Amino acid sequence: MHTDCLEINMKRILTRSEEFLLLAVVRLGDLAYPVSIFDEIVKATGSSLTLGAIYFPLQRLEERGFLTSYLGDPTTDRSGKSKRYYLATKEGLQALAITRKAQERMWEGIECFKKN
Amino acid sequence: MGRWILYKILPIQLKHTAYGDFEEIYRRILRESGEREAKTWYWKHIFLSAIPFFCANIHWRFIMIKEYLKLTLRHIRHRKGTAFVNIVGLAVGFACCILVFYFIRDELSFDRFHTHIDSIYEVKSKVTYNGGSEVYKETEGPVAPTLAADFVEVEAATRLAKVDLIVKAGENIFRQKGIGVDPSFFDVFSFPLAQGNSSSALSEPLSVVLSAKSARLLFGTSDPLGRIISIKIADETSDCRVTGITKDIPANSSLKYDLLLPILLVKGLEINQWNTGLDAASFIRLRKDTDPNALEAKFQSTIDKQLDKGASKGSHYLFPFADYHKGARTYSFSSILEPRSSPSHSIILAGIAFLVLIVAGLNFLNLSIAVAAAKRIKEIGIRKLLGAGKKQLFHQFRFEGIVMSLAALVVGFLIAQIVLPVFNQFAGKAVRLDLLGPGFPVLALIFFAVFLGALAGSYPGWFLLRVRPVDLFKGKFLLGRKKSFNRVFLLFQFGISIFLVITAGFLFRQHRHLLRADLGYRPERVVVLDIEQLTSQFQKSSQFLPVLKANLLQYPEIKSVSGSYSGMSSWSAMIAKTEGEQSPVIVRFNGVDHDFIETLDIEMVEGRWFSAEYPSDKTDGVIVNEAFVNKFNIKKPTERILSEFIKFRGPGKIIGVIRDFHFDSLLQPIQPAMLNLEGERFKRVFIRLEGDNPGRAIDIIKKEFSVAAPDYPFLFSFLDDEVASQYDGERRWSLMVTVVCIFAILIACAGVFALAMIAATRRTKEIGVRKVLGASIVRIVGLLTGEFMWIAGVAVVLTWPAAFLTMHKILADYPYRTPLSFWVFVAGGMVVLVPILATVGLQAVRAAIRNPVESLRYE
Repeated sequence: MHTDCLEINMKRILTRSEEFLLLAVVRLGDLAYPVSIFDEIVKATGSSLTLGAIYFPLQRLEERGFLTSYLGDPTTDRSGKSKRYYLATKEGLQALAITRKAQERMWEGIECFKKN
Repeated sequence: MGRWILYKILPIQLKHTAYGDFEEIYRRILRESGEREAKTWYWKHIFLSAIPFFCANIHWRFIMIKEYLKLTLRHIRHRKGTAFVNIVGLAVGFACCILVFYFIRDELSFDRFHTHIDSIYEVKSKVTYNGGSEVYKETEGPVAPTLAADFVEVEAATRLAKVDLIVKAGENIFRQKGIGVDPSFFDVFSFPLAQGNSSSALSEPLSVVLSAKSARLLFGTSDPLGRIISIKIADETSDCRVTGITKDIPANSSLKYDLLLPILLVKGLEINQWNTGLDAASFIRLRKDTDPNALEAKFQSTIDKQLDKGASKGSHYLFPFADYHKGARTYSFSSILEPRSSPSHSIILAGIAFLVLIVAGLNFLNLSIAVAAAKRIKEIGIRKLLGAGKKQLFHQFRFEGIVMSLAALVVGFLIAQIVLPVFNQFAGKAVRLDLLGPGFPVLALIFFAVFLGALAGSYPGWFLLRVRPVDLFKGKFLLGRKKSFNRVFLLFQFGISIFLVITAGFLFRQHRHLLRADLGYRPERVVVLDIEQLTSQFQKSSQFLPVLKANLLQYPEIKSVSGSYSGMSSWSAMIAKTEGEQSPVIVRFNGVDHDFIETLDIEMVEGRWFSAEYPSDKTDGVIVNEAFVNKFNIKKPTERILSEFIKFRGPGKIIGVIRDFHFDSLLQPIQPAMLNLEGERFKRVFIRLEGDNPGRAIDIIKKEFSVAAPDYPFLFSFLDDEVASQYDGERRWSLMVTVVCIFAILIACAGVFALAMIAATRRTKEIGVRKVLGASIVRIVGLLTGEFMWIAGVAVVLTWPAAFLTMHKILADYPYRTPLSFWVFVAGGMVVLVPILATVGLQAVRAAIRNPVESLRYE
């Protein structure tokens, strides 16, 4: 128990929105750019997310080293602006794992919702 | 638009891609569901994205503001002295402005409480002669009712006649100011009734309406409605029923009364007849959107038809009631309205407050800049080195300025609140500082404070931040060009202070001039008795005055006693004509008795005074003044006959000429005047005292008065007090300006003190080096004060012409004025410069006598 605790670094635990974003990026693989990320999250969770709301977390994730990004080629469909593609880094995947683990621990022994 | 918002709110690196993203989804929706949906989506998302952005922004701002506030408070604590000077100086400026604002608002709000204020007019009659025309205060009695009956444009009309009453309610007897009115009074004016019914209150012949104040006086706390009071007008007593109580009359009302009563009670039935003289003031309320000029033209013939030829037949004119207090020149007098304050006073006051605010504002700017430049360089340097952004430092400075000036605004309110009672007394007002009252510029003042603060903060912030931190540490830039700003500010500050002092000086001298001027008679040690209240029975039978006179003259304390028809400064006016000349002239008139000339000590120029030896004096003897002689251009006055001097008396003969004397106040030139011998109708008694014990003399007079006229109030005053009280306005103004001047000088001194201190500290090293090299203390003091001297000199030279022109204009209103002596200008300059230079000099001496070892060690 004690050793596990050390493994979980609080700084690596993600907030829910960060987790969703990161998961969406991972799921999308090569095709993760804001629009697809946005679509993915909306599709998976059915939430009414605003597009503008994902840029700050994305930037923050990138600053923390959980994501990297690169610019794609300009396309006519977007008024000549290029897409910014995101990729999860090793640290990002680690953070996801830690977050999940922390969450599972918190759920441990709580039975009432298991059936769902 | 959307794009601009996006660019504003999104993280910088992501802007372009984000724009692309929005565009992509927009187009997708456009393809799938049409333009409207797409646009809705677009705007919805931009809007929703903006909210968290703003929240975050405000959050961060707030944190910074907290930080700024902390630094500001620390800065104020750290430099208590300059911060105090700064805040208090500005606060005084704000306080002046706040008070003046209330004063002016009160002036402008005069009479505005009447619902129909803009359609109320006073009717006045105007008589035109060859020599000019004269507007009379009053009209023939039936004018108002006729207008109301004959013209649909006139909604309501009422006559008003002022009357002094003695009111008896139970055991209480009071002297009250009454106004005789028509029942329609309440249709014209809006004095809401606290009790009673305004439509029926005055309809019965013996009914009165009390003001709330009068009701409290007469009945205390008991219910006055329906009570009977006995009212004594002249020699008649009537019992009247109280049918209404009006609410307290607002302080800013030109119409004031204790009682309203039916005008018939005051004037008798004569009031309803034509050609009985100008009996009452007439006020009418016109229907909305009536053109008063058109109506004026229409009603002339209706009125003239009723008037006898040659009587006061003339024109009748409408004067808008709303203009009365605003100061319309033509509408300057009224028989029933309260005297108004001169409108130029408001302007002067506003100008002074504005000047003080400028002085305080400049002081504030100057000090903030100087403090920043001299004392905070290191702070700025270090903060720059530690990585503070330019913008942050700038915000910090600006924020400090704003906090200081807002603090000053709050302190200013407190000062205004404290000074308010004194101010009210000075200005003769009942102003209250209601923060949220109508038209209050709380917002404007706050904006101004913020603006001034931001300006004061921005300037040092702006120029200090441009400098490299290294230079800041070396203090290099300070010797550069930026001081010219300070100099100009100082120049203005000095100039305005000098200007104010010179103004105060001349106002003060003018007031003294009025008080000390040779009046042509001696008002000292003259007691005036007001016997208007005595019944006419007493006056007519000529019993009262001779008895009083004979009794009083037995005492050595009484030198002479004289009766007079009018008091000083309230002589009536009438038309006089000399024989053989066509143009009549309006002259002032008084009826006096034989002892008038001795009691007031007036000089004869020609001819003789009234004498008991010539019985004809009583019927046709007339004494005129020099102004009269000049006006008619009479060569040998004692031989001239006045053909038509008084309507009811026929021709008169000039028997003597007296030296011009000021029966009116010195605010008017001496007008042609005429005296005749009055036998019985006296309203005033003048008594000249002998010896140095006026208290005893008053006791004697009081005793004898109660013997001659038992049961009447003994009302007396001293003539010189009465004369002096004519110039109360002048006294108030000179006092007010003086007080403001003291404030302005104090502000200037405090500011200059701080500046000099800063200059001295800045040059500590220089002074040390100079002293080591052998400079004398005098030289160093000269060095430190030289700049201030120079600026002060320029300020004096620049201010003099402006002050001269202003004073010339202000004094031009006075027919008898103090000369624009040069020495007052010099003294004005000195009064400002001496304390300023003294402060600077003190500071300089302190810096100069320091041991150079200390000052050189300071680094």
